[in-house]
Amino acid sequence: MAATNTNAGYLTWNAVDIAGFWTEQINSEGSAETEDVTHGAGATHIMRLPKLKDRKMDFMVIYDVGSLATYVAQLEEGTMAELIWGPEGNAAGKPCFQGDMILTSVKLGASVEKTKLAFNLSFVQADVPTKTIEGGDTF
Amino acid sequence: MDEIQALFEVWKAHLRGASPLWGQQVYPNGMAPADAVRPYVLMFWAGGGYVPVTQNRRTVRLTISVKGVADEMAAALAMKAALGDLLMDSGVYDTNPSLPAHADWLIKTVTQDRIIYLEEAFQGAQWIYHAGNQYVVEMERV
Repeated sequence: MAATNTNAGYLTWNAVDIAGFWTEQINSEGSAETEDVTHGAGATHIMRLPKLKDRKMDFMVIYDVGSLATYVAQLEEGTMAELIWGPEGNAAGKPCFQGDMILTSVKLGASVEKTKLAFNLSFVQADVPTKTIEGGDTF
Repeated sequence: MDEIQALFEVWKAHLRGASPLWGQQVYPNGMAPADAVRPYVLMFWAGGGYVPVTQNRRTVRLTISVKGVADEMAAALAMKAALGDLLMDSGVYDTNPSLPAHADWLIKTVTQDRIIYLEEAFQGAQWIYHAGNQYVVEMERV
């Protein structure tokens, strides 16, 4: 097997399939807060312990003239819904992210240079994810 | 159908008879027939190809040269101007959508790009003039 470079992913937001409309890149960033627990007399290095985990996601969705009505209603900022992403598709056994997210930012860009119109979307985690790719979860 | 063939079919239909400057003489293959009488219009592929937009979607961005060839500089430049009026912003998503539809490809945008201008010593004896533009065309498979 080889490192995949596929773009044949699976992506739904609020139960609407938007796999055919994402463009450029899907970014999923997991992070963890840390606590400084440096201790001991004469300590020379900071010591930390992990705290709460968080996740942000962002991706762009094109403005498809013929299909806009099928997904545009889901692109309202403040929407809290389930986001499901499968980088290799949604066949059984393929890696899956699934979790409730809040759509915090929606930016629609157009250019006089005739580049594609697209919605730039940013999400933050709303709850503990049901499935994570790092956790080995699958469809 | 191939995207270049589709575009040439559309532009040929659009340009033929569209100006008395060249009448029906529009040649889409970069080669005019040996017996072609100037002035005439030539178009030919200059660059570009597939561009990624989304999965399962075929989008291409092509650069096509379109020029008038004439015995006089003024005629060649007049053809360049007329071609610009007919082609610039002529795509479906442009401000002046005016191209015939094609069954296989949607011509989304047409944008004027670099200028073409050259003087040629034809058969070493006569100056002929080439003037036009490159056009950047974005198309999507229907």
